[in-house]
Order: sequence, then structure tokens, then C-alpha cells
Amino acid sequence: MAQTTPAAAGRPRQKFTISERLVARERRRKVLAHVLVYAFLVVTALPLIFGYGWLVLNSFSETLAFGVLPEKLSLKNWRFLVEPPSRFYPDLWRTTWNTALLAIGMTVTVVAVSTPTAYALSRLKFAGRNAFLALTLVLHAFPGITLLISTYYVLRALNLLNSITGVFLVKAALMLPLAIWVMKGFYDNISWDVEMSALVDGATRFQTWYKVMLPQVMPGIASISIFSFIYGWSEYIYVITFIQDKESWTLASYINTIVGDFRALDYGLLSATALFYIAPVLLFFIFTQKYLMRVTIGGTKGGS
Amino acid sequence: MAEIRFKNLTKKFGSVVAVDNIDLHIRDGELLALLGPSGCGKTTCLLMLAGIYKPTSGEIYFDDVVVNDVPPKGRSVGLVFQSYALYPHMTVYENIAFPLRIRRRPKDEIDRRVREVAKMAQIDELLDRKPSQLSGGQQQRVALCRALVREPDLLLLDEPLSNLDARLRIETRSEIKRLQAELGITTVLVTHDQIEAMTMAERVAVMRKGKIEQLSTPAELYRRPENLFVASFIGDPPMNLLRTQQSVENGRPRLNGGDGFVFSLPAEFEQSLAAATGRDVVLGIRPEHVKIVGRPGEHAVRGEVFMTELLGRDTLVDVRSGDQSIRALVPGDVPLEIGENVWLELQPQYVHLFDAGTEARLPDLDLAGSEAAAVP
Repeated sequence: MAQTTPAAAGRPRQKFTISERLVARERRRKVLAHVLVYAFLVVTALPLIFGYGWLVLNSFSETLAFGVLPEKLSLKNWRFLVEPPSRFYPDLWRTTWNTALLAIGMTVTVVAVSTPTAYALSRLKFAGRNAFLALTLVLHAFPGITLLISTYYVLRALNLLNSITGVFLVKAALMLPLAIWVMKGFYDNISWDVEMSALVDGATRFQTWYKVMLPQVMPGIASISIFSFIYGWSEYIYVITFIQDKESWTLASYINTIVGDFRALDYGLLSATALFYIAPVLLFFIFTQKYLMRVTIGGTKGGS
Repeated sequence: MAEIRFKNLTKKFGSVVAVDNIDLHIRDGELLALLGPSGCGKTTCLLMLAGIYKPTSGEIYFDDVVVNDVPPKGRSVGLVFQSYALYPHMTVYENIAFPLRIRRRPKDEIDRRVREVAKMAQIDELLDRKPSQLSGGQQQRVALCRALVREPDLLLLDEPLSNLDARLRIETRSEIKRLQAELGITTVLVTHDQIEAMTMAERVAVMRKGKIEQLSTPAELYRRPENLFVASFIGDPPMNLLRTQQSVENGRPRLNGGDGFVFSLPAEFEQSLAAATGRDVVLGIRPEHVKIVGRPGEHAVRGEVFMTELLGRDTLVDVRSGDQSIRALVPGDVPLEIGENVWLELQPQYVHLFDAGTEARLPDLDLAGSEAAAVP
């Protein structure tokens, strides 16, 4: 210390100017980096923006010049909201209700099964626990589509073909491995001390789970609910495969029929129904994304 | 209130023996500390008392009742963890009320008792806060309130002060002690911090590898450690422990520490040393009982200053004598040069002798014992 002090005092001004120049250079570099990052993001986002823009414009116009510019604004394409496009289509609102039923049924099943299961896997010691964990991971890696035909047979045997229940049970089963792992991560993050405290305070094991643990994994439940709901809402392949009966159609079947209609494909109608299909998910996502973000924070830590 | 008894208490986790055949009697209303390094089994004992772990064998008695198979909710126990383990989704009020609510006590009784205990711990202003909005010291008080609110027979404290800063720790230490004495609740304190154990507890059980090495009052633990482990564990800076060979010269026992370290004891010690005839002896003396003197004396050994550390009020002087390293704690700032030759006086009445083979304390002399007892 004694040696450095006089040396530093000898040329304070010069030191100051050097650091100022450095700061300016650093600032320029930062601005440039920002510009580059934003440019990259805008360019990569353009196709998406264009796609959705086209969808919106197309749904509100009768024709598009050069396939992009709306020529005549109208609500003609949205008439499906009040009357079916043709006699071939079932009632739109019933179809929408079916879609919601599928999403909600799947959500409820996933939460009801994964919440207690993950608790057991996180906290209880039992034979086969590790095998169970490994198996759920393998199941998660398994592409569900390969099970399409065998599931068809199972559902037929159980008399669940052509029903929303059949589809949401299958979807929930495929979703469960991920949900269980996410929930287990949330449980793992709660310290044993808290659980022991509750036991010593006089709670039973079940009360401890219900009153102390469950409130603390609420963000986890929120995230898997949101994921399940969105997956259920947007399910396509299982609905098309397992449900023929128009009474049980979901919006996916509805749109599929528009695409496969025997007449010339009505892009206006397709755009409008597609927007109608997307809207609830988008709204839902806007309101719940802060919970989704927590999955990566809470869900992956200590998930061994 | 309750008195607690361990009888041949053993806990194994697989092949690991965490608690090894312990007998212990905790008196009614006593504050007893389980002190030991990590992994010595003290927390396992605590969790068996709480009912979280079941003993592998042996019994735990609450008064005359064996509670081995009684679940936690069936025992009247309050527990404070090092991490406080507050319920983060509940307010302070709800946290403290939890043990009462889970037992479905009437609302007005819950309210009265929560406010009472909160007032006693001076956190009645914080009842509407969430734990995350509290400081460490405040969280600690909430945890204590939650443990005390239903007036348990037994209070268990697991390293309750370890997460507090030094100043707050000293304050809380005396506060817990005062509270415990006031309420008269039988209390078991688990800690690895000897100062915490020595200052708070009426009796301390020093544990190692699942066994109790010594159970006595803090003063006794300090004055008369029963074996080498306790001698080395208790005291800061730790006791000097010098491995020596015994011999007799001119009718006086001598301890030979190698390379010129020779310490002569009064003749009476021969009796004491006889218990370890033919074996090495460990000579123990606390740094505060080593005096640095200018000239040779009857109980002095010669050495060379190796290092000095000013600790504030005292100076710790590390002296090499032959093969041995002896540390002396001397008051004030002593003007000693490194390499300076000094004489160290090891006063015989403060000498502890241990059998190097069995690590047990050699029997005290009547004379030495009475002399040592006379010194405060």
C-alpha cells in the first residue's frame, strides 16, 4: 500500500482519460451488439409474422391480390360462427365445447395423477422406485404416434372409440411422464425440514402433503396444467384417428374437414376457423406465461 | 414436562450405525446439549426423540412410557431446525397457529396463545408478514414460537443459532436460555459449536461415532476431560496434546517427548502413570495454562518461538520444543521474536494425562485433583 499510493497520486489525470475512452468504446460495442441481436431476431421472426399476418388478413377479406394484399374487407368468412358452412358440418359450439372438454379432461387427469405420484417418487422409499423413474423417462422418449394403432384396439375393446374421454385418457397417459418429472422436481426443492416440522407439529402424512407440500408446488401444478390444456386443445392426430362421430368432433376435426372438403378449398373459411381455434390458446398463454417460465427454474433443479 | 431416558438406543441406516447403544437420562426441565462433530449421531438422536426416525433397537422413554412406536403427532414435542423450516406459504400468524389448528383447537384459544407466545418472543408486530419478508433472526423467533405455542413436554433445538450472525447469536443464546428456564421445558440442544453447548446447557453430552464420550457439566468437561477426544474437542484454542514416553529418574517420573523434550513431574504422579505402565502417555495442557518464563524452573521446558498470533486480548505463541509443538495463550501483546529461546512452565496441577493406547484419562491424584478443584 505504502508504495502504490504516491505512484497513483502522480498521474491521476491521465488514468482518468484512459478509462473514459475505454468506457466510450465499451458503450459503442454494446450498442452494436444490440443492433445485431435485434436484426437477427427480426429476420428469423419474419416468416412467422408473415404467416400469422396472412391468416388474419385472409380471414377478413374476400380475395387477396397477389395472395397477400386484401382487396375487399368482409366478415363473410366468419359466417361459420352463426351457421355451419354446409350441412355436412356439426354445430360449431358443440365442437368447441368438445375441444374444451378434451383439454380440461386431460388437464384434470394429468394433475390428479402426477401430483400424488411425484410426491411418492420424491419422498417415499419403496421397492422399484428407481426402475419406475427410469421407465417414465423412457416412456417420455417414446413417440406416441407409434402407439396409434395399438391404442385404437385398446380403445375399441374398452368401448371408448368415438368419445372425448378415450382421447383425453390417451393424451393424459402420454403427457404423464413429463408431468411427473416436472412435479417431482418441484417436490425435490422443498426441504425435508419443512416436512418433518409439519409432522412434529402434529400433522399426519396426508395432512402434511395437503396443507404444507401442495401449496408449495402450486407453480408446478400451474405449469403442467397449462401445458396439458394447450396440448389437449391442439390435439389433432388422435382426434382424427379415434373419433369419426360428428357429435364428438373437436375443432381439429372441423378444420381437417375444411381442408379435405370435396369442393375447392376455401382459404378464407380455413383462415377464419384457424384463428378461432388459435385465439383461446393465445389468450390463455398471455395470461399464464409467467407460470410457464418457472418450469425451467423450479422443475429441473435437483430432479435426480 | 417430562424426563427422557434412552436405554440401549441404537439406530442403523443399512450397515451404517448412526447411534450405537446409548444410555442417557435427561432430567425434567433440564437443558441438555448433544455436542459433536458432524456425523456423530446427534441429529439422529434428535429425530428419534421427535418420532421421525424409529430406533433400530433399544427404547426411548418419555417419563415411564416407551415411545418407540408413537408417531410424531402423538408426542408433545416442539422442534426448531437450523433452517427454521417455516411454511413459506403461510403468514407468521398461520405458521405459529399451525400446531394448534391441526389439532382443531377453538379459534379464540388459538388466537390468544399465538399472540401470547409472539409477544414473549417480541414478534407480535410481524404476525401478518410472510417468512420471506423476515430477517434470519426474526425467522428464528417464529420457528421458536411455533415450537413453543402448544407448550410441549420436550423442546428440541437442532443447531438453532448456526444461521445467525455472530452478534445476534450471542443475544439469542441467552434469550433461549432465559426462556427455557422460565418455561421449565425439558430441552435437548444439538450443536457442533462447543461455545453454544457450553454456554447454554446445564449438561453436555459429547458424542463421537454414535457413542457418548462424556456426559457432564460444561465446567467439568473443560476441567476434566475423560478421554483424548473430549480433550481435543473442547476448548479453543485446543488443548496441547503431546505424545511422550514415560520413564523414572531419581525417583521422579519423566515424560520424554523426543529430541530433547523432557518434562519432569512431581513424584506423586508415579501412581497415576502406573495405570499405563509400559505404554506411551499423552500429556495434555491447555494453552492458557502454559506460562512463558525467562529462566529454567522445576516444571519448565525449553523451546524456541515458532510463531506468534495476536488474538486481540491475548497472544497465541507457538513454541517448538524438541519434536513437540506447544501453544501458549498469554495475556496482552508479548514482545517475542520468532526464533527466540524461551522457557515454558507447565504447571503440574493443570496437567492432564491420557493413556495413548486406550485414549482414556489416567486416574487423577488426590493431591492434583484437590488442587485442580481449588482453581476456579
